Parts: sequence; C-alpha cells; structure tokens
Amino acid sequence: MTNPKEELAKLRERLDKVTADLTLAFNERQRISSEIAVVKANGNIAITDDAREQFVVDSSVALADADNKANTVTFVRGLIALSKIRQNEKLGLLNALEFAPPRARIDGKIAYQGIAGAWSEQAAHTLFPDSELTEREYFADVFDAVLDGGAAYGVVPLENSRAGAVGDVYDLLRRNAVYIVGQVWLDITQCLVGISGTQLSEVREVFSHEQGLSQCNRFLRNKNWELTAVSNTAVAAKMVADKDNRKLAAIASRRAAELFGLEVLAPDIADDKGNKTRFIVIAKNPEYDEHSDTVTVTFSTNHYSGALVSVLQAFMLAGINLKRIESRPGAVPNNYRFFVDMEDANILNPSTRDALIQAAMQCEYFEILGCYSTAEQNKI
Amino acid sequence: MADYKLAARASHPTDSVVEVKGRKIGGGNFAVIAGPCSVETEEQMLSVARDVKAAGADFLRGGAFKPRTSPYAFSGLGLDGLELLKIASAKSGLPIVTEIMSEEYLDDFARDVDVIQIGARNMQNFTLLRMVGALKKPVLLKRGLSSTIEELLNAVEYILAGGSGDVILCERGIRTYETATRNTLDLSAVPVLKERTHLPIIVDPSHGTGYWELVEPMALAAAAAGADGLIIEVHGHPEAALCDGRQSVTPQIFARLMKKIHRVREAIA
Repeated sequence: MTNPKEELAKLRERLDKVTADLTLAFNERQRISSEIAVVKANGNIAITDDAREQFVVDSSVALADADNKANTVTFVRGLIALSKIRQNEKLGLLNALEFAPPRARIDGKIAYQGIAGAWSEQAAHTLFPDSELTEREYFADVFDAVLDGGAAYGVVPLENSRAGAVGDVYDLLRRNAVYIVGQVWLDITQCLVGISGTQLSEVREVFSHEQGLSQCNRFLRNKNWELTAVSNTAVAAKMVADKDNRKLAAIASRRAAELFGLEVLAPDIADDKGNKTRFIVIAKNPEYDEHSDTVTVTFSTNHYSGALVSVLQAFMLAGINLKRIESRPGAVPNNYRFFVDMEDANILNPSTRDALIQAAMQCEYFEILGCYSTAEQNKI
Repeated sequence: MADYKLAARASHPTDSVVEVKGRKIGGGNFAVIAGPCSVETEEQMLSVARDVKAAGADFLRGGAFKPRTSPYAFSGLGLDGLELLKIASAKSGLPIVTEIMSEEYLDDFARDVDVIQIGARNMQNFTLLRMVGALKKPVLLKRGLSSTIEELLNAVEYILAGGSGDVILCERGIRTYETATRNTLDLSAVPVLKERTHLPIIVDPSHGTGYWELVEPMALAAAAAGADGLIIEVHGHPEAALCDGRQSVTPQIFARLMKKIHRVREAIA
C-alpha cells in the first residue's frame, strides 16, 4: 500500500528539480536578453518585434502537450514580457514610465462646467469647500483653465452610476497633459423646485436637463406637464426664478433652489434613489502620497489575439483588482484606447510599480493618468 | 549689396533668435527638432514625443502632408495627422514643426502649427513662400536639393518680405554625383550662411545622408561646424516605418546622440 505522504514527497522532489532547471534556464534567458538589448540598441532596432514574438509563441505551442497549449501561450508571453523588461532595464529605458513626482496641494480657483447650482458646482464645492469656484461653458474650457493657470484645479464628471461613462471627459483626458488628483461620488438627488408657495396643481411646464427629465420619469408620468429640456439643471432653475411664474417649475438640485431663491416643491423625485455621479479633480501636476488608493491608466494594445489578456494578466499577477475598464475610440478611426482604474493600488507601492511596468511592456502605448485617494468626502 | 536685403547680415549684424513657446534657436541657442518622418498613429506619436522629450529634444516633428517622389508612396495622413501631432504636442509640451505642401491648408497650419516647414521641393514655390510669410509665424525653410546658397537666401527673402521675421534655415543635403549617400550634406553651408545672413541655421543629417548610421557622425559634425540646431528623424520601429525608415534612428540611438551633442557643444564653446 502506498503512503500518500511518501508519494507526494517523491513527486515534489521531481517538481523541485524541474523548477530549479526552469529557474536556471530563465536566468540564462534573461542574460541572453541583456546581450540582445545591446545589439538592438547599437543596431538601430526596436526592442519590440511583434512578428518575432508571435514566432516564439507559436514554436513553443508546437512543443506543448495538447492539454497544455493554452497555458503555454500565457507562460511564453510572460517570459517575453520579462525579457522586454530586462532589455529596457539594461538600456535604462524604464525612465519613460517614471511618473512625475507629486506636488503638494496648491491654492487657487476651482473650475467647473456649467453655472452655479449645477451638479458640477456642487461637486467642486464638496471637494473644495473653502476655495473660490470659477465657471466654464464647456468641459474643454475646464481643462484649458487648468493648463493655462486660470484655475488650480478642475472638477468634471467622469461616470454616472446609471448612464455610464462621460465620453467627452475621457477623450479630454486622452488629449491633455493633466492628471487626476482626486475624486468624489456625488448623490444626484433631483428635486422639483419652483417659486415659493407654488402648489403642484398650479404647475404647467417643467424645465430641466434632458437627463434630469428622464431620471424622473415615474414622478412626471400622468402629470400632464409640458416638459422642456435646457442645457443644464441650474439653468432650468434660474429660468424659473427669472420668470417668477407659478406655472413653471424645474428639476434641479436643492442647492440650485437655494441659490435662486426657489422652494423645493417635491424632494428626491428621481426613479432611481441610488443615482450617483463620480466627479474627478484634474490638475497640471500629479498629487499622491501614501494614502492614495487608486491608479488610473490609459493604454492601447498591440494587435494580436490575447493582447488585452496579457495586459490584464500583469494586474492579476500583482493581485490588483480593476474596478473599471472603459474603451474609447481614438482620434482617428479603427483605433481604440482603454482606460482602467486599479483598486487598492499606489504608485509608491513596489508591487503596483512592478504591475505597471509589466503591463506597459505588453502595450503599444501606456500612460499613467493619476494616483489619488477615493476616500469618501463629506456630502452636502 | 545682395538682392536679399532683409536676410543679409549687413541689415542685421547680430544673430537673430527665433523663439517659440520659450524655446530659442540662434544667437548661441541650440535646439533639436526630433520625431518621425511621417505621422502614422496616435500611439506612435505619443510614444516618440515622450522619448525624444526625455532625451532632451526641444521640438516635435512629424509629417502630415508628405511630398513623395512617387505618387503611389504613402503621402501622409493629412489633417488627421495634424490632429495627432496636436495631441502629442499637448501631452509632451513640445511645439510642433511640420511641413506645408500647398496653400490649401494655410488656415489649419496658422492655427495649429508652431513652426511651419517649407520643404526642399517647395523652396522656390514663391507663391507659397509669400503666403506663409504673411502668416507672421515662425518658419523653417529647407534648402532645395539643387539650390545654391544664394538661391536659398533669395527664397527666404520672400518669406521675410511677406512679413514673418522668424525664419530658420535648414541645410538638408544637395544633389551631387555621389551615390553612396542619399544626398551630399553640405556642412560648409553652415559657416557660409553664417557670414551672409543673421538667420539661424540648422542641419538635417537624416535626409542629408539617408542612412541612420551616418546620422550621428554628421549631427556631431554639424554641431561642431556652428549650426544652431538639428532636425533628426526618430522612429520607435525604424524597420516598420511607413516612410524613410532607413534614415530614422531609434529613441535609444537618439538619446545617445543627444549626450554626445552636448559634449561637442561644450568642447567648442
């Protein structure tokens, strides 16, 4: 009768021998990679060679057992990534990924899109209660203000819990040299607001942003009110205040009602009570410290089957959860860019750095957009 | 008195300095313009911009409109290419140098380009010279491949007469009977031009030689000869470049070259 413990010990002995052989072979492979790096550098040859990588993968897969072919792809792609890291190290090229040193929080105005009473203004006020706010017409103007010094920071919406990504803002992150330095999730609590003393029965027409109207479908149903979309919920509230007419009401925030001297006629009227929008803080320089817990990156992959898997695998191996992945079209057709939020990650943490370098080696282009804290701020 | 009054050294005894977004060329200021021959993809431009900036380049080049000998060769991405240059410039902070081929896109260049390049083949396109001069923007004028130095100076006079005062001249090799190199890089043009004009002079060792192996030695020689700057083709994957891969250097070679340039500049100071 076999003793399982003895049998396991024997198998483990064989396994350890293979692991040792693999390690020695890996050492040798990395040493050869260093030599290759020098030849490539002197020979005007790029480190990455897609066709050669595919050849190495295919040749290895051909050698693999039938039930081990898929894992062999993963294994060899990993080896290639480690080889490229070694080559970049050898040539001192990992510096290109070096994230700029953090800057301390500065004083200055906070730019947001819209007018006072808009949700963006509320987010800006939540994040910077003691700062002077400055309004801009378009999201692009908020980015420009941050870049040209018109504002120290900008606050823009990045995603809504129902509607998803704010595509324009992702595109602006792709195009501009700004960093994400903070964020807040804001509860979007829509209210029906009107002239003080207005009864619901007096209302004939309701103004709001298109989204504001659609978020309150159930409340508006069977009311027989005329619904008019305007550019912004705060603009809607202001229109009602300016016209001073009890037949008019707006769907806007409580803060907008207060700002324009209106009364909340019906609070919290959205169909979905959990409606939230995530706003990010953008700045000209990165700001991070040991309390940062999220790293946002953007990258594009090379074009081979499994290219995205090999990038994601780098995060998996570092034990990093990816909270959000967004794909956006590039500036010209047939070109896509991924945006990823890494949870419990910090650029100051060596395991995060290793994961970033590993992932970058698998990408055609890789850029760190920010390292910041998602700690909940006080809500209004 | 030369026919070219505004370009002549006599009209302006001190060296002119061209300043673009805080970067200076001329009068002892040395600047390097680097980037791929042609703009291919967004990621290519972003990567190369980051690499050449890290190596110390001052400007980003990249062709969106390409003058090609064959009408069937890749002729550039056009306005899409300009868009990608803008993104790479915004991300890297490097100003854009790119070539205009005709007046068709004059408004786009006036709005988006920091230094408008007039290529060797358009050096004597006098209508274009006047129109670009009238934009009053910095201009980089390349010497025609069969043009004399006098012809170059007369050509630049059109731009200056058009209204622009910020013109950089560029020696990029001329057509001779030698076939070992793509062109014959006339480095003696640098001191000759220095004597005749106050305008800054840069050298293009990439087009000047046509071979990446010759880019570094000729770049160093140009710096030693007193050039005010260089324009160098850099590509992340030279062997896969859609245009002029043979004369493009990798970012690694470029970084090494930049260190040597620095040492040559110190040696001749």
